[in-house]
Amino acid sequence: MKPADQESRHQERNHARLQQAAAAGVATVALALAMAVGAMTSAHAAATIVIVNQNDPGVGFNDPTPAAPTGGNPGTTLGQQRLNAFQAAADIWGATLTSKVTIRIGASFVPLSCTANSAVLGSAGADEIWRDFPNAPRAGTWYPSALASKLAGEDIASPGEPHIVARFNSRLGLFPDCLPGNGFYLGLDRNFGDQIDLVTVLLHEFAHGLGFQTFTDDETGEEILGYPSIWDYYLLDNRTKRTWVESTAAERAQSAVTWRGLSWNGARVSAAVPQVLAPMSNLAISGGAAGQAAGNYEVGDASFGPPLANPPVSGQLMPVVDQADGTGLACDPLNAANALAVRGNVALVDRGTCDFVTKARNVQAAGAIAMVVADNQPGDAAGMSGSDPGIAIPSVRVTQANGVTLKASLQRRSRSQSGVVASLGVNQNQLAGTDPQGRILMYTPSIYSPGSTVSHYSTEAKPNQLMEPSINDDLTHQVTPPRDLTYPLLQDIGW
Amino acid sequence: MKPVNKMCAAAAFSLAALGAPAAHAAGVEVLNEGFDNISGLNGWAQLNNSVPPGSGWFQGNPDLFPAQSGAADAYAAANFLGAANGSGTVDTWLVTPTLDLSGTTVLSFFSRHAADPGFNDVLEVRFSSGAGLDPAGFTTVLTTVGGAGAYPTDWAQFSATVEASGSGRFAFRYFGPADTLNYVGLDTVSVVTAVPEPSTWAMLGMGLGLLGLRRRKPQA
Repeated sequence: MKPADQESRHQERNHARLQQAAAAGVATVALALAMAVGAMTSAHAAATIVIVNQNDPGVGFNDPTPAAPTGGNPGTTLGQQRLNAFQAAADIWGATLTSKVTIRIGASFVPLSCTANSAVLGSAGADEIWRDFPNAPRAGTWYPSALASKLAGEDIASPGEPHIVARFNSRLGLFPDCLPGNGFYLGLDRNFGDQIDLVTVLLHEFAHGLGFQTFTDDETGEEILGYPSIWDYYLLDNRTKRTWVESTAAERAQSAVTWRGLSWNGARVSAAVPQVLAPMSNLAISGGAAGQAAGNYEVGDASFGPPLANPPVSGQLMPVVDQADGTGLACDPLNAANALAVRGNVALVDRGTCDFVTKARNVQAAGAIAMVVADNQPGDAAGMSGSDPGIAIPSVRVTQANGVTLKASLQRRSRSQSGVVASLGVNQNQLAGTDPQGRILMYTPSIYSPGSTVSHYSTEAKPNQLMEPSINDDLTHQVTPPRDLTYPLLQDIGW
Repeated sequence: MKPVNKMCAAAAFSLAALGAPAAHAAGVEVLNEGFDNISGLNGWAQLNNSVPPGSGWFQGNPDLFPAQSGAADAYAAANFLGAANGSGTVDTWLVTPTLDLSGTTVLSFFSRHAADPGFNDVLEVRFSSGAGLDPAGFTTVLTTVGGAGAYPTDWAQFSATVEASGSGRFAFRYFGPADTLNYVGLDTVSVVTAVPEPSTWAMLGMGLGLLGLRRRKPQA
């Protein structure tokens, strides 16, 4: 995630307009309209994707602010560079997908919600959804417009309507109240530095529009007009062992807020999972004093320091205590007693006040061989953002509840030893972000997250996947295995 | 068993090594505790007068060091977390059951601490006559381990003698500013008191005699 310890979320909204079967198969004229508004096409793509510029003159794609060509983007105005980045992302998807019908993306740069340290980067979704169109593989099932047109073999979108609507934040990085300094990188070469790679964001949002989303309400579980989305045939509640089409609305809503509760049960994704995902990170607690705390813990990975591997990094777990309430923030260089505690050991620190990289830097300087961060608020295991090439020790994050358990086991410690051994390694028997059957998990935090819940992959996937709810620095522009599981999911639903 | 290597010379109390032939032969062991299970101790009591109070005495942590005898964790331990979060003043007490004493009484025990430099563990041993638990009653300091002297970094035996008849309790008190303390262990606590007075033997003898009579009665 970027930037450090900030929540840079991007949400897709469902702009679907409902189309009954009777309305299917109407318009093919929209193609000409799209071309008329100046979109570009890619000659060698297996599918052609065009950008329909929906910005008014002088703003967004039409912003005349001069810009120096950067990172392979030859545009000389801000608007041109934005359009070039869009086309680069459209070409990547165009080269991946197959469709006789040109896919039209109605796109604009508009102000979206932000604060000084978080922002919605963009949102996208199908503009229309269709069911019971010609050649529909499943009857009584909603399909996104672009996929429905592909399957129908003709453009069934309403006249004048694009298949996908996508909006991106026009103020990002340009204003003090909108992630200042962290604007979009408009180059095409991934040398984004501290910025947010626009092409990556576009690839993500376009995927939502192509069908990486459910049209069923993930908060209430209600289907649109009583019909399921094609997505819902593959969304498996891994506790009830029923898919969303086999579940009640209440069961769907419940599964959407059950951490690790929903898996993708599509054949293409499941077949690709072993070549894409790495073994799951694991924190094992053992030792003569571990008592009730012994066992394996779910952890969030850090984007800094070395990744977890086998053999694990093992040492006695020792807490940093630098606050009156017994917590340890490690936001400053450690005092003598804390340095003695963590030297040669695994440091346990609390989340809060400063960023994760600062904590890692301080415990490493005191001689710690690894760091475990205990969350400071309830929730699920989550990752840690930030980067510092100088950090050479591995770090993981555990939930607040698990942090309490670990601290309780450390009450019998001396100043330099606890008898509680922490091993930071990987579980060779389970892949990161999968359920015990090896299916990838969807993003279902126990606190409902509008726009992110269900229609993304789990943040536990490793390496980070394009369709996680946050943009991570390690993403490439690949949408296919062996790097990424986005295209296999689109294949599962009919692409 | 290690040789006795600590002697406490409090003026009012003589010192004797447990195992010295005379003392052993003449005494009755009224307490022998190896701390196999701290939470299951019978008759022992804990007091935590720390400010603010944290954890008290607990089962030994075998990975810091093993027990003097028995299973690796079979010892009592106390640490700087006696005051909550290791901040404040530690004052945690581990008190023996009420013992029935009859004159010259020898307490012996083993202790050691975790050897991290820069900390100054202190363990006091106190005695109170009667069965009370009020710290104010434990006015008699029998010995102090650590403090001004070095706390042993390997198990060492300590012993102290007190003259007392009737009920009494011994207390182990771990105390000091939390930031100066580390971790101490306590193991194999034994109390040997003098042979009971002759009158007691006489009563036992009468009891045995009565038993003998009763056993013979059916044959009469």
